[in-house]
Amino acid sequence: MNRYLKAALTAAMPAVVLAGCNDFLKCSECDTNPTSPIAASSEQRLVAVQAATWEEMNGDLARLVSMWMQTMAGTDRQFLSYGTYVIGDGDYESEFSRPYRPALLDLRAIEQDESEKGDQIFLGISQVYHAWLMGTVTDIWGDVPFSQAASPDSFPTPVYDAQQDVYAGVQTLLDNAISNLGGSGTVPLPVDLIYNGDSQSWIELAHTMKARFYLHTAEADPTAYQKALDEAELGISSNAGDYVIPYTANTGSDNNWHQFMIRERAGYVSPGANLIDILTDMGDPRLEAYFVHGDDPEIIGAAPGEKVTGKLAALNPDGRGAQDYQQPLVTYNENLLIKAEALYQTGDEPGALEALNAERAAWGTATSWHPALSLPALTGLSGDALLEAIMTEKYIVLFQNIETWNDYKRTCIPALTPAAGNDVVPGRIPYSATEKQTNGDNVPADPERNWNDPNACPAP
Amino acid sequence: MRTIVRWMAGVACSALLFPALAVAQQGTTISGKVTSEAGTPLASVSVFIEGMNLGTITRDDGAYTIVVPAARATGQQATLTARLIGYKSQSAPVTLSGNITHDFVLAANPLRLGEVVVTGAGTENTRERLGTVINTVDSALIQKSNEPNVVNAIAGKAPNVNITSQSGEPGASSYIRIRGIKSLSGNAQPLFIVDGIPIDNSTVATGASTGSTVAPNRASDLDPNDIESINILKGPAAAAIYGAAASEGVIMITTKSGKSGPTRVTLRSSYSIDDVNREIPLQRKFGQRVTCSTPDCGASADSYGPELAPGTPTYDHFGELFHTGHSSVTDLSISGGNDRTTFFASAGYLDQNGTIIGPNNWYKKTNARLKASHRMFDRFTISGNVAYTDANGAFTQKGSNTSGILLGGLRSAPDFNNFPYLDPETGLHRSYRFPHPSPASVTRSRSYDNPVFVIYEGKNDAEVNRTIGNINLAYDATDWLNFNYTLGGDYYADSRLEALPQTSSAFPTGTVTRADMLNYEIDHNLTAKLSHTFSPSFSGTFLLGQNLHASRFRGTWAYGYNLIAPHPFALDNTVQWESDESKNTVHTESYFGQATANLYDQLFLTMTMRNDGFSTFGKSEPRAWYPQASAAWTFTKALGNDDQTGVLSFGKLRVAYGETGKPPGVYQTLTTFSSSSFSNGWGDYLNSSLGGYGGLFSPSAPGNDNIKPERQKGLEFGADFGFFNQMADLGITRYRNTSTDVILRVPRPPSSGYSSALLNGAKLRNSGWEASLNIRPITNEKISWDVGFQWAKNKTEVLYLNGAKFFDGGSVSGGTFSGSYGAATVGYGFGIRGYDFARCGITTLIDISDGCAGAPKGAMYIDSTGFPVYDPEDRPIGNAEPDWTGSVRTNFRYGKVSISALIDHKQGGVIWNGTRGALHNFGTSKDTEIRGETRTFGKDFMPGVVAGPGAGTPVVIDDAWFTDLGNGFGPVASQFMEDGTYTKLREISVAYTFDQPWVGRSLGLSSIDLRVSGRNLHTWTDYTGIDPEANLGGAETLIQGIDYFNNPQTRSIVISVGLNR
Repeated sequence: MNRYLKAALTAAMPAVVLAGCNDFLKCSECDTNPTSPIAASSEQRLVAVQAATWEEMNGDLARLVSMWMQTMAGTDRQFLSYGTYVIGDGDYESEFSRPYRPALLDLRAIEQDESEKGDQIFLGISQVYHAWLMGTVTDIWGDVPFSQAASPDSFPTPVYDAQQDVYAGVQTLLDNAISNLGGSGTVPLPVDLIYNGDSQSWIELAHTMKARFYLHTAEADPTAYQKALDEAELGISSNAGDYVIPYTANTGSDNNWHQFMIRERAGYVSPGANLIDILTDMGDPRLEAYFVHGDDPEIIGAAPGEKVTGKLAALNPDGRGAQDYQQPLVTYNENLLIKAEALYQTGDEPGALEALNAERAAWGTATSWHPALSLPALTGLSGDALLEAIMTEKYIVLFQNIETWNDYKRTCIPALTPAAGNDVVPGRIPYSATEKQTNGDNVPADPERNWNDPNACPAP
Repeated sequence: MRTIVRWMAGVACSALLFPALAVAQQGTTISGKVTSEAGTPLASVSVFIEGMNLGTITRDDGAYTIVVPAARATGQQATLTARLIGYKSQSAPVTLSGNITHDFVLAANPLRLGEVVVTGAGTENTRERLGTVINTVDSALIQKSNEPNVVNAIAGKAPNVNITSQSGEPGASSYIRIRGIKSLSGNAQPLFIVDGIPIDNSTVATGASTGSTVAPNRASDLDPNDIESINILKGPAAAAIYGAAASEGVIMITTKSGKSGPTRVTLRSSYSIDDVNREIPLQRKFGQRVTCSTPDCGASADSYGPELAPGTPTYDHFGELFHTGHSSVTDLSISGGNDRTTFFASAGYLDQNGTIIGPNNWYKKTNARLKASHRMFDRFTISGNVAYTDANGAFTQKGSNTSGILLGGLRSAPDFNNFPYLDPETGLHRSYRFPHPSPASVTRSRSYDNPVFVIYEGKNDAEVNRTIGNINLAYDATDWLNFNYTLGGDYYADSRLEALPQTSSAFPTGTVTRADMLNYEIDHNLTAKLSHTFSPSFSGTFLLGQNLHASRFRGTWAYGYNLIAPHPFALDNTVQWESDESKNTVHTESYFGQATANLYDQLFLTMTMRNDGFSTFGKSEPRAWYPQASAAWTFTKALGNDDQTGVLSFGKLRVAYGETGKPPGVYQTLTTFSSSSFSNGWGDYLNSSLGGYGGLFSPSAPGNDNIKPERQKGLEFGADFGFFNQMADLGITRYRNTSTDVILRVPRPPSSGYSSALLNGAKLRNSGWEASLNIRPITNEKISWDVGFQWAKNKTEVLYLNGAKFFDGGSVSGGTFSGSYGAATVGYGFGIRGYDFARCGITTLIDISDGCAGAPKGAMYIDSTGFPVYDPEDRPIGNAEPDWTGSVRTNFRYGKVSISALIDHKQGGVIWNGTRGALHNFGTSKDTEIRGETRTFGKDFMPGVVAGPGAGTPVVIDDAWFTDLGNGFGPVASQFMEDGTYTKLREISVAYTFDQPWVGRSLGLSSIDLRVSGRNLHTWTDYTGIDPEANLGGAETLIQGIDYFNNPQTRSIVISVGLNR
């Protein structure tokens, strides 16, 4: 071989080593992720917070509460166990964690961002979500992280605040929210998928929510009924102010009940005998608004522990079972019934009956979440029967809503026969296994009942 | 593209018609014949002139001819060497002038001590000098296995290299585990190197790994027939040369090359008949609990109905889904060349039709390869190697998925006929829970799909086009300095379609998933090697190298929902779409060096150092070092035994230490926001973008800018012995590999705002023994017989999980199932966690003290009703790691007939039989046939030690038990953990070679091989699930040993014919 060629080749080989490998490790797609953003705006975060809130309020928790409240029943597989109170500390992990991660982490970012920008309305809206989620978590688990929650840099292992402190903090947050919502900010705010940034609607919602959380403390502190009444007076004033999830008929933004009961896990959960029996006994038209019959011509529900069969009823495919059913979470109706209960508990029975009938009358006009139904006014009720009527009405109206559990724990109405082999309906869900494993020094031992719910309901 | 391949195959075939052109002009011709000591002519012996890059291989009659061009034959002295694997090489001095005849008689060297072993990244060594154990699987063994997936061909052939195939379906993936589990993320598959360049061996199911369909592991794109040998680097002591990419070991594949000499043509064709090897026992005595007859009525899910009247037709819901499958493989290879140019060209076609009935269970693969080498100048050789694969498959839904064929099939009531799957009146999907579809049910769920409907009406396709190739330049600058450069590429496009028709249970309105994946890797590897002999007793080499590697992945998944018309399964025919996109790029830049020393031809030392930089490493430590050192000492030479004879004919001691790594996943240093959805494990979910507005939320873990590669440190020592004139050999290896800085998604309190953090810190250890014993009692011209035993034991210890007691994240969990999940547990190892029945001395969360006084620890507590109770404390309930694995292989040859067999054994290792658990609930499991009968726990039901107030109380076992605590959906998973011990007759074959003169005279061929083999003919096991070898997630999940409606494995009879010329 030509010796020049030889020399050239000898030189070329090491040259390859040096050529072009400066910054070989720093290519454009090497250190930036080509498909995921590394920053998020408050608007983007708020859209996701709403999705997280709806998943929290109308997902697995709503199914569990509905089974325990016997408006639904677990009729197959794991839901047979869940429906009869056999749950482990690993079963409702996401329901415990979702309000914190990502919701509160992102809400805190929005709150900081909007405080800096001085957008009080946006700030107020995020504070309402903050309070709602934390209030819901304390309703279910009792003592929970609140003051140190979702601040990972400062508090990698948040302490568990006492439940009464969390409720107090939630009320303060709502007060701040109401005050901020009275200020100025971006209106309309299209990423607010509920009220489009309408601050008046948010203020009313915040008051209803304050009333709701006051009621939750009333078993431990009866003075809360008056506070609940005062707030309900300022709460949602018409069905136009209802907080309703705007589900669509598209997969991924459709109603969780439809997804679960029809698309994903048919038969795992079926309509519950207790609600169906109450509606049937009263000849209440909501029976057929909620349900359709199965193989049996009658609308038949399942008792706790009963296995699925063809005879069982189903959710009305044009109503509660529709893919785009507009699920109510907080409504004018609930506000009226809070008022009715609070009036009753503060000694104004005629006022209570009036509020109850106002709520029943509201059914006469169709809303996004129910057709127009004519419900006769109730008369001649007083004493225990009046309370029974108010709470039974609320049990029916708040079908599928996790608030029914709080009402039951406080009033024991309607009386529920616990699933076979149990003396009581559980008052809480055990703390999350992940929290126990990772934050063991702070997670309290699981108590039998929460502070706000000292007394179990007696079995009928 | 397939047309082109067929055409190329046609061209290649026509080459058969032309006789090879002899290349003979002038100069010196060296010819002769090579025979064994027994007198047999030896074919395929490499005969070459050292230092001149001239050589050939012998023909079937042992004859060879080398032509030295006149310009190079100047009467000089040269060394002529004959080398064949399994024989001692032999050299002879020749003078290059005139015509020379030299015959060789090679002595058998069953230890293959002189065999050159590729040791990675451009390094090689002879087997005698290796300080670590490197197992080799050669082409003959690969061919005998009859496995179209090269990974399966390794099964049972190397100790502690355990293969698990996902199922027997065409195109199913196979999982490799070498010396235990070393990491907590990914699927932990070894690095695959083909002819010096890394190739992708990922496994990606179109949907969820636990549902969806099987998917191939991409190394199956290789044509097994192209493979000359596979070398396996098992531990860090051997694999350190590959640094941060090699913690799971390295599978190094060398493809066949042409040899100078006459053109050789081989056409091999095989035909295989396959059927399902095991089935799930089902009861056919009791019928569906509640049947129904009105339009769109729902019948009960379970079969706890009345005992069926005699004569009631019942159906074989397992057997009806399977039939006999058949596959064919045709491979043509042509190779040859002259003293400057050699080539190997091949084409292969695989056509597999699987054992699932219907049109959607097949895999077809077309391979073509051209490998050629040309010596442009005496010291400069250029080579190229390009292989193309076209693979297409159709699959069926499996596993944990309401459309999975066995999920719906095995739950079907025995008295329900799944045929016809379409209602005769409405033409719509009927199933045992939805037996009478009305015309209004076009988009209604059937709860579970009729499996026959899914088989015929579903559509799950994959189309892969792949090219792997390289260019190699070798330049011997001087006698002591060699340069070698390889530029390689691996490119594939993988296009998938997965469609569920309308009325399918998971998507009653129908869905179409399209996935397109593109993977592109380029590898640059440059080495410079210096060799020097300092004195007769001291020589050495020094190698320096650089490697640059770039890999890119592009994936898009588009999901269409709500089919407009029932067909076609196309995105445009759906109402609504969602998408996923994945893109990533990883660059690596590495430098390595290796020094070897040979002292007195008996002590061999090797030192290696590699420095790796990966673009995925965190900023605090952007580069990492991986050292290695080993020593091998042939002590029998020190004892004066140079010729490998006597009782202890050979003895070598070896010790090696090395380190390897595993890089962090791509983009783990970054905190990125998610735009995915919120869900709860039951299938319902809500997108984070709603109302036309984009939503983003914080990730579950922040990025970790300081993430480092995982590090594995391994110490390995052992000895190799030859006995009785090398009639037997024994190798023993002991190793201990410690994995540190293992990346772990450490759970954080979700209430802190992040639910996990990605950290280095976990520590795992694998230690074990490996042994192999080969005996060749008879080796002569007429008869030869050899037997080989392999045995291996590995123990994986989980030493530290950053303070956590167990870890069940990511691919460790193996999927989410009721009552059981995969986990790594400190002090226990990897396996399944879940719940057990309450047991004396173990249970703490519930009070069972009333009955445990005096009872032995572990006694199952029986309460006053006579039944056991559930212990709500989750704990490890089964370790999937085998106690040991072993295999026995034998070959017996009598004249032209040879018989061989391979038996593979796995001792221990627990499998979760989730199928049985689920079928308890549905009353179709054979176990449930005893319903209504009286049994006593601990005696004739769940035998074992029992205690408690109800111990010994007979109870009626009925559906209340089987659908409650005795049910796989209930909490107690421990009752479905089964011993996965098995013995498999993996291979047995009888072969005959026709090489009589008539073969050449009448057919123009040199020989014909005829072989009849059985593959996986029998499995001996007590496991009651589908197969103790199956794994639901295939090669996608780290945890193996999960059986949940897995599709079955197969057994085959294979007939193959090889025509050689």
